[in-house]
Amino acid sequence: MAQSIKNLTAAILIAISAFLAWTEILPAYGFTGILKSTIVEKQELLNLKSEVSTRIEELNKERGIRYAELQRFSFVAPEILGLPELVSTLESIFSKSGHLLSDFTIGKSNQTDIKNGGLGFINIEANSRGSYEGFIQVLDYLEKNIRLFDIKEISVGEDVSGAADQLSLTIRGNVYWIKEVKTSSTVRGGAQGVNSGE
Amino acid sequence: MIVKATSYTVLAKQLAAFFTDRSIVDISLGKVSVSPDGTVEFGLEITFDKSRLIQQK
Repeated sequence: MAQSIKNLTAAILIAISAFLAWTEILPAYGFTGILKSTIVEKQELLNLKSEVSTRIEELNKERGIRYAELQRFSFVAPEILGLPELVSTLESIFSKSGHLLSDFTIGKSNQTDIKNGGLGFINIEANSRGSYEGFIQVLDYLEKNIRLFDIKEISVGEDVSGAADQLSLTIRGNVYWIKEVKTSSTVRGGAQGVNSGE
Repeated sequence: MIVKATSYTVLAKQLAAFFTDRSIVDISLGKVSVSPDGTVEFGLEITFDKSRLIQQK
């Protein structure tokens, strides 16, 4: 009797398990099989995205490293002419050299330097008076100046005022800036001092 | 117009101040020279943005 109850219980349990497997697990198994290909596709997409993300991070790091260099380059050829900066640079160079900056002209330039692509340039002519040592120092400071000053012509002569050991110096040269493509937002910056002239 | 400044530094500051004003479109700097009294004399031409000065109807 006890054996038959055990057999019956086992048969009932097996029947319930079979029923659950048939109604619950089997349909889910089929569904999972259908999803498998989609999962593979999504995994590939995820890998691609993480690869792109890693590349962006690398580029970001690279930008951080190069930022100092780019910033330095922006001093060599800034985005705007920067009239105030030019005036103070000239004043600083000549006063440090002990030369009296008697007058200067920041010329007219609205052209683009053909040889250097997108670079705009402007002529500068500066007249000063001072000693020979001062003259050498002026050239030295101009050479060491972080903003590029391209000297085109230098004239040195005896000072007409007749002071002893005094020279009159005329320097003509160009300074450069990166010419912007004029859009509504950049017109103001790009036009800064472009028409500077006599 | 002909303007006088006490030094080149002051001239640079004046120019920088002009460029901070959004109604100024362009500044033309003429010949800058030191006058006999020690001041810095220079010609200045300022171009204003008309649309910012005159109210559009």
